Amino acid sequence: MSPMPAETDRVRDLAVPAVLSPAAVDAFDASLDRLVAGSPDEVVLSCNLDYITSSHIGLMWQASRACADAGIRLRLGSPSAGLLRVLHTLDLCQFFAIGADDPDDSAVAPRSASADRGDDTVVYEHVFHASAESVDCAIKRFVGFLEALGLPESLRFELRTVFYEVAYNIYLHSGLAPDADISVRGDAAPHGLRLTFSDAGVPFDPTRAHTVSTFIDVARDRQKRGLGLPMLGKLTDRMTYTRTDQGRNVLSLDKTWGDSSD
Amino acid sequence: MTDSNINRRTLNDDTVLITAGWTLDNNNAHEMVDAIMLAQADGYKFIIIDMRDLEFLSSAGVGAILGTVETNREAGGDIVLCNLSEGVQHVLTVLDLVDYLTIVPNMDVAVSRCTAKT
Repeated sequence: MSPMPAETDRVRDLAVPAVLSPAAVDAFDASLDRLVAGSPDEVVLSCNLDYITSSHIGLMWQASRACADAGIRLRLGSPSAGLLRVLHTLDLCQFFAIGADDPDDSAVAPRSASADRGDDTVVYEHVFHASAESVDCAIKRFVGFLEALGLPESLRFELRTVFYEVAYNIYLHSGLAPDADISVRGDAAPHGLRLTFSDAGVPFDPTRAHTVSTFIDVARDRQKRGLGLPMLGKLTDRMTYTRTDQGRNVLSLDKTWGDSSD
Repeated sequence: MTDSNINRRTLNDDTVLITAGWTLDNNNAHEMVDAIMLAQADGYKFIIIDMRDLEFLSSAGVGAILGTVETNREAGGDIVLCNLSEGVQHVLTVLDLVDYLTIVPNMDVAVSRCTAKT
């Protein structure tokens, strides 16, 4: 393993936070934006993590994409054996240069994400705020997770839309303060994803609300708004809602698909 | 970071081109509605919406188009969508809208489609 280089104008360090509080994630986003704007030759992503969640992987993926888009080499610094095992299991090693010093190593650039997932469920967890900025960041991070799963574009587009519609619906209609938390968990299996959102906003059961007959009727009625819930009904296979004793809305959305590996 | 620019350009007496930005969602769907309704008020029978840059279409974006298309059709015209990405096309397919909306591959086909109906 190569030692981590001293930070210079051309080589900059960026640390993945161990504890992923909203503030820590926002700070990571801001640091990444600043680094990329500075156009260094290389960013070394420090990953001294005792435990690794899908959200950590999501941050790493986000950094990988941002650097690749800006033509900046990204390298993992001091990855733990556990992290390397996780990257190997997810078939993501190819997307990160690990301890290499060869500037021509093209492993930094994300290529077609065709991770051959096993039968294990991959868990995605993230907590974000009920503000437009935080929701937008959460969507961006979720898109990175979908890309890491290697799903086809059309399916990623559907799942991104589902995430967007739910997250924005909570943000706009839950009555939550901008610094209130919204949590999301994704359980990705080889042929399906369950997304579960939880928030402490006003009680709302969307499974009882989507009553549009068809979208063509919507057009004939010249209806321009209120299509989010019927769209969710079309884009998912099942929605379930509970209001917990702790006063939280818990909405789960299931989406299944065929074999995407062929 | 959001490029939500919605631009309008007149192609001929009957047809106007509206170019979508890279998202059409809660943040800018009302701008698309305004652009379409202004073109309708100006008497354009055909509105071509070029989606070549559109990477994301939310329910608000779908509503902007669905809620306005019948006005053009009642006037003997239409709203024609062109240059859709695979993702946008896919979502419209899932919503059972590809046969209802007029969707063509590119601008040339869109213009000729409008000309043929004039």
